[in-house]
Amino acid sequence: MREDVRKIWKNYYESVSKAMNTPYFQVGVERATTGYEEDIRKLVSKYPEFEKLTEEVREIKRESIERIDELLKIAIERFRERGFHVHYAHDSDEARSIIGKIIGKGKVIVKAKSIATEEIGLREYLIELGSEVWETDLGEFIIQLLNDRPMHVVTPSLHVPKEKVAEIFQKFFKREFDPSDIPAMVKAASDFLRKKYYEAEFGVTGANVVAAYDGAVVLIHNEGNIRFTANIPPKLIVLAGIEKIVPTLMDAIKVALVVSRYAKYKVAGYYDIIGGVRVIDDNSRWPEEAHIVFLDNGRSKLIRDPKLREAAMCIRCGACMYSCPVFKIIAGIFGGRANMGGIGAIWTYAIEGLEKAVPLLYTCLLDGRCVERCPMKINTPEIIRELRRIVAKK
Amino acid sequence: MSDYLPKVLLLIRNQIVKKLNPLGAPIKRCTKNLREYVCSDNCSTILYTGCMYYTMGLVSKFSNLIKLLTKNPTSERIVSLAEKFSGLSSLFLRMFSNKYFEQVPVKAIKILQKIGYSVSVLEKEPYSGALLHDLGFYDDLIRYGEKLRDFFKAKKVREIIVIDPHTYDLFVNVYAREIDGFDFEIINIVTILDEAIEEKKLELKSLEKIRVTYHDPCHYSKSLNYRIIEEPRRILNSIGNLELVEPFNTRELSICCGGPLEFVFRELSEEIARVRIKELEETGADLIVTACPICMSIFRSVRKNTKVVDLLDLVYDCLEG
Repeated sequence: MREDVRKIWKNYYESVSKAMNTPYFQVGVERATTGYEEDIRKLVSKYPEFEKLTEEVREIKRESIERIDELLKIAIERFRERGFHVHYAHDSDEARSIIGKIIGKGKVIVKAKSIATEEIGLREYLIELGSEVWETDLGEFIIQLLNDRPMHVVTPSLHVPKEKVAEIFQKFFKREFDPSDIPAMVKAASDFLRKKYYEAEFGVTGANVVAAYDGAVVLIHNEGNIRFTANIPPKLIVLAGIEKIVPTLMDAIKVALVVSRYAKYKVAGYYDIIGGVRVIDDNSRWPEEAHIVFLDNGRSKLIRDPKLREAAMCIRCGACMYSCPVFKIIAGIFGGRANMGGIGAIWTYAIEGLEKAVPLLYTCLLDGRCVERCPMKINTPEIIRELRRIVAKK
Repeated sequence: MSDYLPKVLLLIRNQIVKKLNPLGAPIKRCTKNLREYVCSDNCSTILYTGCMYYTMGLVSKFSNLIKLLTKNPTSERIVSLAEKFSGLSSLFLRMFSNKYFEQVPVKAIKILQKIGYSVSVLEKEPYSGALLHDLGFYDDLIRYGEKLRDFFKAKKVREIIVIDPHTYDLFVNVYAREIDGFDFEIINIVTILDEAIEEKKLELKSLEKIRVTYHDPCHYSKSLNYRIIEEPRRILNSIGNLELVEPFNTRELSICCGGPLEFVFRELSEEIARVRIKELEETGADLIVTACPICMSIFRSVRKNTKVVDLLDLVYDCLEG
């Protein structure tokens, strides 16, 4: 085996073993994945008509991916019309440097949970530049305090059970927490973060869906935190993967409904639409500055390959991850820095390169349970077989 | 050869390509308990085990040795050692057998005879090639499939009865599409039994009252086309004195046995199997029934209280008269 690849296998094998031998990790993952199985069944039986909307969204996504170049052009134009500064980043480095230049040094920044920012390592980068950065999603806040990486796209700290959260909070807030008193822990985080929204100069969010024709961003959240992040600080930065673009706002809303339903929420707590900058007069507008950064970072590579393209339809609901037998044991260890499970192995290939993806590609069982759960019916095992063919020839 | 893969996977690939068996076991041993059914040159309808029961029987028997080889995908010294001796594997493996696994194809033939099928087996059985498909050795797979096609054609095979999900899925969903002239009639034994029951050619009864649960193999329940989900349930429900109970995750949402990972991440593979076994045992069944030698092998190595048997084994035991 080539030395650099052996190292990747070795590190991966070690983190798999570690996860399997960390009791709190096992407890958290088991609770989350069994909870999902029960919740999703109830939802499917309660709302059988939802299947029709899912089918419609599948077509919207298929069409959007096929028209990506055209839709991106339209989106760039329309977001400009709505008062945004529009940027385009080919890769992680470029995205970090664009955002770094906008923000500068020594600022306070509040962040929404976002897979794209995770993918480019934005929080770490901005802290390195000397800013104070706070994750405002509770799960992601826990990850930040634990100095860990997210284990799921929707519930990043699913591997951290409440007992462990109490321990982490005790250290951070320097007072006692009762693990069974979840509301007290939620309140502690929320009281702390509420102050930060007002201190912050920048709010940074991702994008669950982007409507090209309308120049609008749709965001889904359960804690209300994105509302504050996007609206209280005077400056807003949105980082959006180009695969998130769909034609219209109506399409985008449909996609958002399907995302939250398959993430096991009947409806999510909040859906926000950011439709542009509000201009009061020439000198007065809110946010004072709004930026959107469209991120490629391997997405075109997926989309241009007809055998891999389907993977770009992923709407990041996380249903496949909860459903994966491997994930039920090692959660997002079976994953790259931002995407987990079998689909995560494919995305890791696109974002981080083939070498990083190799052990992940060979962790997939090819059982196909993810396909059964995927609202987009992405045939992950087939795409993984395709990528294994590339690996086998290396 | 790939510079990116653990040596053990390359070793498996080499054994398949060179010796027509993933372990390098002698292909004459695959049907050694079926000598009386061997056909010479005209083998129009055959039962083909793909050597799966024999091979998985050995895997099950040598699970501790295999664990050593596959515990850590980057420790290659022990695999290199195994590779050195791989030339001798056919001699070494010849000395061993796994009675439980190897009697399943025998029972399959006896059941088929009972419902009026006259089938034979090949004297030598090359492996199906499924692992080449799964591990990404695509060019090897195509050459292997062509070789297998020619092998069948030379014996004048027209109909192939298959008895395991991996062979079945590969034949109907991959070879039929990718290999020119792979035009054999592929029939699954579970389908045959299901039809025989429907036509009242096969009546089954358990001697004592028994409660069983069924584990869906992924290549039957989640394959691209030609899924086999209700058939085994109809078969089980037709058995007198038998009650079928379903686990929480079942049919197309059943949980994989973990078997496909056993050559790369053995511990993870066993942990997945434990999770599934726990769920199957929680049904309160006296017996766990599956229809795949890979599931059976890993389940039998991690099970706690409940016995794991093959569907064909159970059907045979419930034959009346």
